[in-house]
Parts: sequence; structure tokens; C-alpha cells
Amino acid sequence: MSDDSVLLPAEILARSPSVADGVSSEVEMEHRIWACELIQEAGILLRLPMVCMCTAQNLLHRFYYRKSLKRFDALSVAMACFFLACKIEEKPRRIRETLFVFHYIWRCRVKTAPRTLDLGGPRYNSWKADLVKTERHVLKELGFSFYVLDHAHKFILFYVKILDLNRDVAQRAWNYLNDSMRLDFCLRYRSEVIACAAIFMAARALQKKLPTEAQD
Amino acid sequence: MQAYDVGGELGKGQWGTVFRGKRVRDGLRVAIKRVRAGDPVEGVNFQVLREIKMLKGVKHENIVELVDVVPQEEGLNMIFELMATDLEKVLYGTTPTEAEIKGYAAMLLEGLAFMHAHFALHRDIKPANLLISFEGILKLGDFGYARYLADENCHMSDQCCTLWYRPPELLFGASEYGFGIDTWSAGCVLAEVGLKHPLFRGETDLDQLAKIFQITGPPDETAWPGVSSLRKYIRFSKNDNPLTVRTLLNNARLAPDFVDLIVGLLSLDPKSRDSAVDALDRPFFTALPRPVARPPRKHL
Repeated sequence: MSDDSVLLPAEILARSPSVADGVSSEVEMEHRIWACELIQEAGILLRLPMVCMCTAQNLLHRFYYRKSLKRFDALSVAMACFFLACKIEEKPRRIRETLFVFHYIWRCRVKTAPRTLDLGGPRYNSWKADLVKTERHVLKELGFSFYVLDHAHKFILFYVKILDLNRDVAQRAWNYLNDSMRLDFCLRYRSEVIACAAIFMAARALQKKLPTEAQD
Repeated sequence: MQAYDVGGELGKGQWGTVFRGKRVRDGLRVAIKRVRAGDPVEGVNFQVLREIKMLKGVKHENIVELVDVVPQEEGLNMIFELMATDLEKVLYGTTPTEAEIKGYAAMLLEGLAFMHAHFALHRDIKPANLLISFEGILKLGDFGYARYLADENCHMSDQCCTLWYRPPELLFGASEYGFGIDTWSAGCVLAEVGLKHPLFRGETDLDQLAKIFQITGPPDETAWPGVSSLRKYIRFSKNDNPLTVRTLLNNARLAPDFVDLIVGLLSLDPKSRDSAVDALDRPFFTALPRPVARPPRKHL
């Protein structure tokens, strides 16, 4: 009942704005992956359910098919998508929590990053203004259709049950899906298909036999 | 915003202002709800996001259509189809016929049944939020409190629904509730349609409960299992002459099958309350006169 599909057409996927702006596609991929990792880690630190991170990562990938990395840096966009996704998934987080958590995971990664972010200080205020501004850009670029009804994760347990596989396979497939969100699969393939691929890989890795024929 | 001609002001609320307008491309009449969304403190307003998310998700004849969302400077313009009036104005400004009342009741319940089938709660059903189109179609509006049903054991706020239409489980502070909250409100609205005044007019949360129990009598564990373990449960003493909703409505000379419909929706225990689908199966809707949707006689 949401907008039927969030898949992007091939001609858009083939031409990313960053590449058009002179960023190589390898660098673009690295930035996407880095941004998604920030989102994942922020979500874990704030004890959010996976659906918030998935939505944020989905928004981020869609955003970078609209705008170039040269205009919007990965950190700001990751933060904005995260902040927005929490609201969308009914788990709103304070702007303050979002800023502190992102500053923390950023400075863990970047040696030269400033060590502190003082509440109400000049750096805090400029980050906050940037976050609010970027959030609006994200909404605008996505045309205000931001609700992802069916993440691939939703199908895992259902399929695992039908295929009569165990918990380990489900967990392994779930992990693959979490990792898959680093890339823009969610805009290329339907969620059911991604879920099937994850289960297939998990069954292979754990040497579990999958049924070879359709059963009633 | 060049795609729309903005016209006169239609109304104002705490969230912003509504203007009348026209889509330049094809002259479609629209209502433009201009909200402040660039809140510098917490970013884009949570309720506005919720409303957009829900309205993009649920499309139905009896749910108001969100045509477009256009950002503008610090705010957002939500573009809706223009509606003629709302149930509150129809109820207190005109005298709808029995067939029209039946039509409104059916359309209200159809809209709710659709939302509930998609696991969505409206959470603010009241006459002013039931909009009526120029063709006389009733549509649910104002989705600022609407949300998808939370997972089990996930808490939802008990601070929703306008007080007079707020069900007893919310007043008792329940944080896990279901579709019953909308059907209670619908029951209150339908009773108001019959009585021509709101059914329970409380002034505070506590007073609202008192007003409800004055008529229904206070609930106990037999009538409503689990009531006493709700977070804000207060024991009310038995009143001497509980009136019951049924006698109250009968005294107001409502048709007996209309009374049955309302009583089914106003059961204190949310588990035994009629669902929107149950309510639509009541004989009220099949008996003569048949429900109709007629263009409202007076509009904006």
C-alpha cells in the first residue's frame, strides 16, 4: 500500500550524479559504504531496531542518485538520513543524541577529527544547522515518499520457515542482509529477491540442503 | 509552488494555516495546508512526517487525498483535494436526512475498516476531522496522529484522540491498544450525530471518565477483564441509577437499529467492542432508507 516500488529504473542507476560530477565510481562506492557503516553503528549505539538503520540506508542510496557527493558529504547525509529514518519508523531520537553519537563514531575513525563537541558550542551549533538543512534536502529530493514498507529482512523468517531451515540459517541470512544494505541492492532488486539470495548464500555457507523441487 | 495559485485563507490551527487554491495545470481545486516544518530544534516536525507517510500509504475513497507536498522556505505545503465542508458543520449547520446520516456512518466505517485492514490507526476521529466532498463523500482527514500499529510489547502514547472522543482504555493510560480506539471515537461521533450534541463532554481526563461512567456505570473485572491492571486505573464508585447508553439514546428517539450500532461501538472493554467491519454488518445499513451520499447543502 506504500508507493508500489522503490526500485529505480536502469537509466538512473547507470548515471549517478557523483560520477557525472567527476567522482570515480570506486570512490563513490567507498563513500556509500562508509556512510552506511556510520548509520549501522549509530543505530547499534542508540539501541535501535534494524528497521531504522535499513530505512536510513535506503534513503541514503536514493539520495545519492539525486545529488552528488561533491555537494553533500557522506557524513552529513548519513546523519540526516539516520535522524529522518528514526522519525519515520516511529522511534524519534533527539537531535542532540544523533549529533553526539555521530561525532563519537566519526572521531573514532578519523584521527584528525576534533575530540569534543560541546552542547551549545559553536561546532555543535554548526553541525546542528547542517543536519536540519540536509534533512530537508533529503526529503525534498526524495519527493516526500520516504516510507519503505517491505525491507528484505521482513521476508527472512517467513521463507526460512517455509523451507524448513533452522535458526542458524536465518541468523546468517539476516547478517548478509545487514551487510547488503551497504550497497544499493535495495534500489536494484525487489526485497523478496534479495531475501532469497541471502537465504541461498546462508544455506550454502552452512551446508544446509535446500529443496530442489517445488513442494505442495 | 508555481504549480498552484494560492487563494484565500480557509482556516488556522496551531500547526499552520490552510489556504484555498487551484492547480495551474488543470484547474483542480485544492486546499493548501502550510505548516512550519523547519523547526530548528528537532528538525522536520514528527507529526507532519507522520501525516505525509500515512497519507502516501493509504489511498481510499473515504480517506482524504494528499495530492502533493511542496517545500517552501522554512515550511512545507501539503496539497489536498479541496473539500466542501466537514461533519461538524453539517451536523450543527444543517439538518441531514436519515438516509444521509446512514451514508455518513457507512462511509466513516468504510474508511476505518480500510485503515484497520492495513494495520493503521487514525487516533483522532471527531466530527471536525470527517471531511465531506462536494459530491457528499465523507473522507477521514487530519492524519497528524495516525500511525501503524506497533509490534507487540511496544508502547504507543496514550495522549491521542480529542478528549470527548477518547476511549476509556486511553484515559486509563493503556499503552498497548488496538483498533478499538478508533471505533470508540466513531461510536461517540455517531451518537453525537443522533443526539445533536456531544455524548460525553468532559473537561479533564478524570472528568471525562466520570462522564462516561455516569452513563455506562463503572467497569469491573467481569465486564472488562484486565481493566484494573491498566497504568492509570482508578476505581469509580457505583452510581445509583446507571442510565446505560441504550436507554439514553432510546430516550432521544433514535431508530432502534441505529441505537444497536452505536451501543456495539461503545462497549467499555475494547476486546468486545465491534470492529468497523462488524459495525458495517449491522442491520442499520440494510434497513430502509438506504444510505446515500448527497452533495452538502451548505459549503465553504
